Amino acid sequence: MSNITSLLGLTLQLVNVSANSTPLNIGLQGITLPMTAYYYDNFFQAGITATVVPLPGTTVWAAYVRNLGANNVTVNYTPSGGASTSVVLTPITTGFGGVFLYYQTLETGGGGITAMSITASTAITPCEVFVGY
Amino acid sequence: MPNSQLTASLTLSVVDLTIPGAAGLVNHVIPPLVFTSPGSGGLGVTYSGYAVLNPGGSINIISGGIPTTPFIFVRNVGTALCSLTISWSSGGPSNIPRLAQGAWFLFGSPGLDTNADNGIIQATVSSLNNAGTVIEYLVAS
Repeated sequence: MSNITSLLGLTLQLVNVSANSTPLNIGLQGITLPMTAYYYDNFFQAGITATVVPLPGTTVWAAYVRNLGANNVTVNYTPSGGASTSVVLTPITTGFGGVFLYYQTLETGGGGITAMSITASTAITPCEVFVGY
Repeated sequence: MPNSQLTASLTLSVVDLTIPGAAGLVNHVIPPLVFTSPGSGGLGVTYSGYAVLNPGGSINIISGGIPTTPFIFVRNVGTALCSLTISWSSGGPSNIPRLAQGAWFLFGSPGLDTNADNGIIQATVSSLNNAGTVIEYLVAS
């Protein structure tokens, strides 16, 4: 039985600057994932060899990685039942670094990630990491 | 002056359910992802709140290639499991973990329309042969 829950909120807003109007405004709040364990590091140190993200369970149902540094990082992950794959998150250039977010609302029904590691391109690079089980 | 701007604001928190009223274990307002159109040009945004897939069918929600698409948000608003495959300028196609009912995927890369931003060149959502595959999505380029 879950004893903790994570909540995720997202607002997407498109502003037409010249017309001073907001043609799109989507608010998704209170999205929850009931969990039993999580791992969070607001300054995870990704090395130039693969640095394993310690998953709190065999399958995590929420995963969030954000590049906080000045180098590319490669997030390598294994989808449940699938082959290992990866995505590159670019460094902070226009106010934020690359963001990868995967979030289920139940720990059943398929999906999930069974392994994750992060590798920096040229030097130890900080990332924000959250994974939930 | 930029013509348009897309802002994605995220919050993440973790709460201990066994302690009513307790402060969150994690309370985090993630700095917003802001995409501003270059020069006086516009920002191309495609949004669908309810895109229905036929059983076994698929939708290419990004197929523009270069210049790439730096932002994607996909949410499963149906009842059936679906798969999402993405090709980035750095490589791919890569399988995103499958999206069950209510699941989200979000990817954002700073910069617009540059080949170095590791944006997306193709993204495809596929039904797994079940009825009830419906997605909400937004892409910006």
